[in-house]
Formats: sequence, C-alpha cells, structure tokens
Amino acid sequence: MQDPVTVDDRTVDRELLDFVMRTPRWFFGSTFALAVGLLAGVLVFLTMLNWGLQFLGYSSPVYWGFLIVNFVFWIGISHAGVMISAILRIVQAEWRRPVTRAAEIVTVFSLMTALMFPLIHSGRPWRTLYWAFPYDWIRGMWPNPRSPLVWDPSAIMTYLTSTILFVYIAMLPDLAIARDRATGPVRKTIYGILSLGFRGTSRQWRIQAVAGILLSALILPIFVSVHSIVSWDFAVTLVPGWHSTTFAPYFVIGAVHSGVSAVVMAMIIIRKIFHLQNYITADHIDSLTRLLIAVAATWFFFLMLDFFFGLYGTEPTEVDTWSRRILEGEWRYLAVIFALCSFIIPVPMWLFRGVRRSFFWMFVTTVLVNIGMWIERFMLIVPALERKSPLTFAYGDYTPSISEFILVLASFCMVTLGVLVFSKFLPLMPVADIKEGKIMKQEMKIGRADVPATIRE
Amino acid sequence: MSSPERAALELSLRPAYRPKPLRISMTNAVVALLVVLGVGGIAAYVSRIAGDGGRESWAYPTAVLMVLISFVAAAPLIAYASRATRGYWGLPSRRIADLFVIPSLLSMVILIPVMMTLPPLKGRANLWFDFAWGAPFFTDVLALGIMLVAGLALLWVSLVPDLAANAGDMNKLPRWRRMLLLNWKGSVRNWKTVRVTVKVLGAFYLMAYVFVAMVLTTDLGQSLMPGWRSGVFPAYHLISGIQGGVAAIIIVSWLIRRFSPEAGQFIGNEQALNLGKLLLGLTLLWFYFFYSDFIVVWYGRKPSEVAAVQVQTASVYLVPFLIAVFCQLLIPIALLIFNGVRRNLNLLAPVALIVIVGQIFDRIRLFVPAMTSEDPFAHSYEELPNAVGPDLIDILFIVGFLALAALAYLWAARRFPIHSGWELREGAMLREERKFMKTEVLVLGKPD
Amino acid sequence: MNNPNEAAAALATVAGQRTLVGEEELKADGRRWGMVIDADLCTGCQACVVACYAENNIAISEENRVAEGRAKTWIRIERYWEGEFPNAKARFVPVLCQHCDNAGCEPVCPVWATYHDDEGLNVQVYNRCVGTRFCANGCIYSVRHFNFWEPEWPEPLDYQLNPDVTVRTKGIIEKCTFCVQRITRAKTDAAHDGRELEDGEVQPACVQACQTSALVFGDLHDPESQVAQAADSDRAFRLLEDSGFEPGVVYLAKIDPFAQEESAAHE
Repeated sequence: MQDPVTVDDRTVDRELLDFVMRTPRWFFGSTFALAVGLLAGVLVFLTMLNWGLQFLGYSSPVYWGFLIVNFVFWIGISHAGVMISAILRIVQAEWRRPVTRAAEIVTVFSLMTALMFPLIHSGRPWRTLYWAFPYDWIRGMWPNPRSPLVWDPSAIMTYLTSTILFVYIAMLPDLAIARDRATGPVRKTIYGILSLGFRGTSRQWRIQAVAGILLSALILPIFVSVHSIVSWDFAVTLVPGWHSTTFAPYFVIGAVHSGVSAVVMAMIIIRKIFHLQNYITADHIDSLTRLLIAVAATWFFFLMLDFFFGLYGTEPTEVDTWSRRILEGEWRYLAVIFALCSFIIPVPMWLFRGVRRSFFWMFVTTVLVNIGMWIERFMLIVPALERKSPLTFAYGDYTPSISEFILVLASFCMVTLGVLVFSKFLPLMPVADIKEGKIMKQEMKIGRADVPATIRE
Repeated sequence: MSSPERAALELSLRPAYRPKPLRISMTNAVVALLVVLGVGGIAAYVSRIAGDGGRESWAYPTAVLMVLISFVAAAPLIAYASRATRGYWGLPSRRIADLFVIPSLLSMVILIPVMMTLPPLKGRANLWFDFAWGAPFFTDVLALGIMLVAGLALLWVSLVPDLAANAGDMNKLPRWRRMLLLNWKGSVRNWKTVRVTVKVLGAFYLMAYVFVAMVLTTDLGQSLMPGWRSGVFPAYHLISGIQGGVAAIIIVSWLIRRFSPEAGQFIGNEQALNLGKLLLGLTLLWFYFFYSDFIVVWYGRKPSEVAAVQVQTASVYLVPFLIAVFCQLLIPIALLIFNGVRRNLNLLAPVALIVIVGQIFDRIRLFVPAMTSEDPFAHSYEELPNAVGPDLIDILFIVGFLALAALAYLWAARRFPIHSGWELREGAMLREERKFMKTEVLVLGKPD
Repeated sequence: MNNPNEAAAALATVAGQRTLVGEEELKADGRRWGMVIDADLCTGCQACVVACYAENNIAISEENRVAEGRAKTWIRIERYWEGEFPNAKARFVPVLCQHCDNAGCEPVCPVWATYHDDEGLNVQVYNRCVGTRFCANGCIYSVRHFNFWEPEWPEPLDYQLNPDVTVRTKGIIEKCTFCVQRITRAKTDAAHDGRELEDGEVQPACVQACQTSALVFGDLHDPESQVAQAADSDRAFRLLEDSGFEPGVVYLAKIDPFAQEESAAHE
C-alpha cells in the first residue's frame, strides 16, 4: 500500500545514518536557540524557588493553572508512542515502520518533560522530589497511597521505563549498524557497548522480535492507565466540571488524538530537515490520518458525553461551569478557538484524500489540533476552579503570568531539544525496520491488476 | 503463522462459488424447545401488555430490551470493524454478524410499551433539556427505528451479490425480484458501489447504535434512578455490548462449525485466535470502563451518587452484580489469557456463553432498580430500596425473548447464506501462499 | 520585665515544663471538637478575623495581595445582600475550616500532610506539606490557603508573634486549626492538674473575640456542653450538606421577623 523503498540496503544505511555521522551547520544554531529557551525556563524556576509562587498567576481558588495544563498536555502527547509503535505493531500495519522510532522518542522526552511540571509547580519541590517516592524517608512516613498524586509518578515512571526499554530493544539492530558504520574509536566503542553484541544471527533476531511483541502487549495496559490516573487527579474531587466519570477514557482518547497529531507534525518536519523523502511518503501520512479521523470521532463522542452529562443533573455549579466555558465568561472565545482547532477545521478537511496526502495541509491541520488540544486541557481545568464553590466569596479569577508562558515555552524547547540531540547520536528512523519492510513488500497478480501485498507476520 | 482454513484459500479457484443458507431442520428437538419457549415469551409479553402493572411490571422486560440492544444489536459492529480495517480474519464472521440485525428487531417490540410507562420528563434529570417534541417517546423510538433500518439496509446490500449469484439468470426473474436484488449485474461499477455502500452503511449503523445506546440507557436507566449520574455509562454499555457481540459471534461460529460441515469449513484457527484476542481485549476494556465509573463515585463520596452505586452494585443488587462480574470479567480473563483457549473454538464457545449470561445479569442489576424506583423525581435515595426479584412472567419473558431472538436468527440463517460469499471469495483472491526463502509464507494483498 | 524577649523566654520555659506530661493523659475521650455559629447574632464586625490573625501568626496581606486574590484569612465573613434598596439587608456567614468528618481534602494529599485526628480535628502538618495544593482543590468551602510568598513582619510587628504557633514558610498550605495550640495547652493543663477538661475551657481566638458570642466552641459529643445544646436547634444547618463532607461546624439560621411582610410588599 505504500510506495516501496526502492533504494538498496547500503543506500538506506547511508541516508538514514547521515545525520548521526555528519553534523550540518544548522544543528548548532538551533540547539543553541532551544537551549536558550530551556534556560529561560530554568531561570523562572529558580525565581520560584527563591521567591515562592507569587509571580505566577495562581490565586485562591484557582490553585492549578498553566503548569498542570502543560503537564496533562505533555502526558497526552506521550501517548502517541504506544499507539503507533505498540498498537500498530500488534495489528501488523505496515505503514507504521518509518514512524515508530520518532513517536517513541517524542514519548520519552515528553514524559520526562511532563514529570517536571508537578515538581516545579509544588510549593517545596526539593521535598516533593523524594517524599512522593514509595519509601519512608523521614520519621517512618510513607506517601499516601490514596492520593492520585502518588499514583501519578508510579504510572508515569512505569510508562517511561517501559518505553525506554521498548525503544532500546527496537533500536538494537540500528545500534549495531551504527557500530559497523562508525568511524573513530570512541563512537565505535560506545555504539558497540550499546548494541550489546547484536550480530544479526537468527537467534538474536528471534529474541529481539519476541521481546518487542511481548513489550508491545504489556505496554498496552500501562498506556491506558497512565492518562486515566492523570485524569483521576481531577475526577476524584467534587469540583464541578471535574467530577465526571467520563474523564478517564476521555483523557486517554484525547491524548491519542493530540499525540498522533503531534507525531504527524514531527514526521513532516523530520522529513523536511533530514531529507527523508524516500522513506516518509504521502501514503504514511495518509494512513496515519485515517487513524486520526477514527480517533478524533471517538474523542468527539466522549466530549459530547462529558458535555451532555455535565448538564444532565442541572446542578447549578455544573451548569455554571459549562456556561462559563462556552457561553458567557471570559473563556468563551477560547472555547470557540478550541472547537475550531481541535475538530471543526481539521477533521472535515481530513476526509478529503487530497488533504491527507498533502504535507503542507497535514502540517497545518496537525498544528491546529495541538493548539486546540492545549486549549482544551486549559478549558477543562481552570474555569471549573474559578467558581468551584457555590459560596460566592470563594470566587476567584485566573490570569496567566509571563513566568507561566515562559515555562510552557521552555517545555516545548526541552522536548524539541531532546529529540534533536537524540537524533544526533542515534538514528531517528528505524533502519532495520525499514529494511524489513522492504523484504515484506510483495506484489500479487490478480487478473490483469498488480496488487501490492505484504507477507503476514 | 496461524492457518486460515484450506477451504478459504482455495475458494478463489472454484468457479462461481455460490454460498448456501444453512439446512436447519425445524423438527430438531432443540428448535422445538426454542419454539415452545418463544411461545411462552409471547404469552408473557401479552400478559404484560394486558396487565395494568405500570412501570414496575416492565422492569425485567426492560432488562431484556437492553440485553437485545447490547449483544444482539452490537454484533454487526464487528463486521463493520472487520470491513473498515480490512481484517482478513473477519471474513467468515461478517455475514454471521450482519444477520444479528434480524433478532434485534424484537427490541422495537419491547421498546414501545416500555416507553409508554415512563413518567413525564419535567422535574427529573434527563438529556433532553425539556425538548418539547415528544421526548423521550418519539425520539427514542425514532432513534431505534433508524438504527434498525440502517442495520436492515446493511444486511440487504451485503446480501445482494450472494442472492444474485444463487438466483441464476437474472433476466428470467420477475421484475419485483430483480428490484429486490437492486438490479445486480455484477459489473465493475456494481462491485465498487456495493463495497463502498457496505462500509458507509456500517459507519452509519455505528453512529446510530452509539446514539441509541446513549439515549436508551439514559431514558430507561439514569433518568429514572435518583442520584445516578454517570457520563461514561453509555460508553460502558457500548463496550460491554460489543464484548457480548463478539461472544455471540463466537457461539454462532462454533455452532456452524459443529453442525454444518460445508459452511464450517471456512471457520477455523485464524477466526478463533482473533475472536479470542478481541474477546480478551474487550473484557479488559469492560473492566476499565466499569472502574472509571466506580472510582469517581467511590472516591468522591457524594451521598446521592454513593446511594445509587449501593443499589446497583454494593448492596441491594449485589448478587446479580457478583454474577455479572464473575461471568463478564473474572472467568473470561482467567481462561482467555491462555493461548490454548484462544486458539480453540471448542473452548472459546463456553467462555462466550458465560460472558453472555453475565451480560444478562449485568443488565438486570442496572435497569431493574431504575424501572422499579419509587420516586424518579427525587434527587437522592432517602433509604435503600429492596431488591425486586423476577416473578414467573418475568422469567418467562427473559427466557422466551431470548428464545425468540435465537429463532429469528435461525430463520435468517435458513433463509440467507450464512457466509458472505462475495467477500470470502474476494478475500481468497487477495491471499496466497508463497515460497519465501526456505519457508512458506502467507501473502496478503492490500489494495487501496 | 522590660525585655519582651525575656518575657517570651520565661513563658516558653513554663510552657516547656507544662508539656512534660505523658501521652496517655492527653488522649481523646470520644471527643469531637465542633463549633456552632449563630448567623442571627453575627454582626459582621470581623473581630474574629483580626483575632485569628493575631493568634495564628498569619502573614500580613497588603492591598496588592488582596487584589491578587491571595489574601490569607483563615476565617472570612461572607456578606450576602438580600432584597433591594431601601430594604436591602446584609447577611453575615463566617466561614472557616469546617473540620469535616468525611473531608475531601484529606485523602488527596500525597504526603499525608493533612489528616483527621481522633478528636475530629482536620490537622495540617506544616513541615510535611510540599505544596501540591491538591487539598485546596478538594475543599469545596475554599478555606485552604497557600503561602505564595515568604511572610515578613517588619519591626516591631515581629514581637507580636505567638510562640505557640509555627511561623509558616512559603510554599505550603495553611488553614484554620480550631486553634489546636489552645486545645493542646488546655489538655496539658488539665492533665497536669489531674482533672478533666471543662466545657468552655478551650476557646479558639475567634470564639474568644466574638463580642456577641455568636461563636460557640466545644465538644459536640458531650450532650451537656454548650455547643451540643446550641447545635440541637430547629435553625441548625450545615454548609453544603449535599456534598457528604459531614462538616463539624453547625450554623444557626438568621431569624428575620420582617421577612414575610417584605415579600408581600415586593410582590
């Protein structure tokens, strides 16, 4: 179904390892710029350590704002990794091949970035760091297992660990190729150690394949549980607008929606800057987008469920939260932007084959989706807190501050920097996987037609 | 590599394969028993209509209605999933699944009298925002009607190529029969149209089914029970319905394989494996949706919501709930994690039957308290009500209507080919076994 | 004594002596600390707010802090207007931590910084709190306050700090404790003297300062205590009862003898 990779194996090696072996000029400039962005975030964090959270926009009762929104957003983006590499591998979709490594790497770095945010937004991060860990550091006090904020780090760390394992195992053959092609003793040694002596014997291939399949299956429950647990940070309270049973599946599906869109966006950028036109074709983007349509429709269904059942009991505080999100209130413009960006503009466009196969339009629509989903996280979290209690003297307002914008920007810089630096040292395209795809590619003659085919795994 | 049945692979070589309906003998003892039970079900139905019991007397019939909406109406979704993802393993299951729309017609028969017993909307929580145009009666009946029409249309369109193949020379048929067969000529355009239409109708059926699930579970469930407010419940109902649908397809596949050698030759290892995996995945999803509902209510401890959960789960209807959990979750998981069970239809079928039994009890524990609640206009339960057990007519209703559903399916299987011949043949054309290096592999064609 | 610090030191020594009493003697006796607030008697004078500030070393909230919405008051007077000019009336509802039996703030703290003790108090442990503010989201009365800045008391205000109460740092949550320092002091004194705690012996700062005695504090489980008898009234209600939090503060509704006639006039 996809255009076959027509170049031979040596060329594949050379082209895909090109960025690892040689460094183009733009690398240094972009790394510097991203590092500056990250540094700005670090500086803001240091001011928070010194002066407390007073420069952020929080107030009573809106105690969670941009930073938690960002946390949820990055956890959401991280779901693309499992969706694409694990689920697509289990259903044996051939078109996953170029995308898997990039998706997994985006997952790893977005998880790491996401983990930062509950730490830095807490009042005493130097304590949060180790007191949420399941160990009785001080005076025999363990963390509270009833708190969703204790389930969060367990779930996220499990997801991070298993994704890193997954990436590493899938990367072993590529590390071996890099070891074989590397010049210079330092590189050769490092790649040699990392590739764990992978030589491509049939036994090693079998172990590697089985390990990948097992991890794919085992990572699925983690994938579902991580964002569900994050959603329960909100759903277990009685805050109107948060107290909804749809939160767990809604968040997971929303995560897949924003995550896969982010990966499509990343793939289009990667294709451009690394000159991978041979490997990432319109067919791949087309298939990914069809998956996105199904996911977006499911997400919309859950959004409708949340909306209708939020208004269902006509409880005044719930109705008020929804009306403030959509109709009146300061956030109604944001709600319109959200609806347009996450669903109304992209999804009908994706129904057209021409749009799906156009790299430019797919880039535009996936950027819109990501903007929309960030706003969606915000709409979910903040307006509900502003009028949380029916006691009017507890009402508050939220105005995001410059510090919070800088921190959010820094998180984007961190993920991009991570992916960029990773791609410098390790191949961003799964070389061995793509070569395997070449082998699996077949053709059938049916009547007078030549039908593309694949070997069933 | 799991082996598709040899017959499925060789199908493309046979000229003009004509799928045949099943030969079911009406004098068979089992069929006779079903007929007797079905008559009992009809009698129970008439007795309920003639009686003046009001909403409470229709509690167990509502549970039966929701069971019919669950696994019976959800089965065609499996066919749609297989068509949308071009899953070759689902080829024999597609017609089996599509035929389930015939028994689901019984749901309309129950829905209408049930809707007539409902109290007015005003003053209780509902989805309709005081919609003035006949909600919920007309809206629910319309929604279910649209879903059933979509399902029938889907069945009709997918049957056309097979029935036309069996009809012989089209020109010799009377005009009305040719119209019924949509003037099928077998041209390239015809084939393209039928492929696209079947997918579009499947998508439409999915949307209609989702809407029906949302609307019926709310109007017959959440709106009637004080304090029950759960956004994820329609999704829970949906997923458990699909789980039941897969179970139903497994049971029918097993029955075909066991009792009809000529039709059963297309059902084998591959179908069992994939249906087994699907059943396991859906069972885990059942737990996920149940738990995401439960934890929010349990942790938040809001008295009105906790009371509702106590009625349906923790104390009043505890026994049906436990049966449902065992049959829909614990036993299937315990058995389906073993590859050997998933590979073997003979072992999968009893597991599927257990899932369906669990589903019946699940619907009982969800909808009977709703329909028998004393004051649907209350905000919260003042005190926990007593469980309402089924009386003789209710039991006859449940057993009878399930028997009627089975009979309807049997009639459909007798009347229409049980396998989607044209899809099987197409699938066979797109598969071949080839020598690859030192081994033989299965090559699957993936046309756009 | 001239030097205030010496006085404080002397007091501290006495306090130190007084704490050398065994845990057994300080144990609870099926007690449930609670408060009754009579909205009929409350004049909205905010004396309780000031007393709470003084007693509990609460940080000074300047104008800019109030504008930011970060003013810290462990007890606040909510003023609701009823009716229209010229018949507008103000209703005063003092809201403080309700010390709920089924609190929404307690299960969500990741580090056990807040828990329910066996005397019915919702305890906040300042040195354990890491400031995630999850509890503040869980409280539907919004009585939990976060320290956004490091509190400062310019001289000579630092002399007024209460040595019995921790001075909190930035980055943690604080809230009304029912003046737990006074409760502990009273219990220690009683144990030291070998007697039971008397009803009315423990008075949080707000209760002590209220000029109309609208606030009554004591053991809700003791049927003969003032507070239990006050709570047993036709006018009694609790805030946001539907939530199921089971607050420990009982409010008595305002009696308005003119209410009926007014509504007739307006209709």
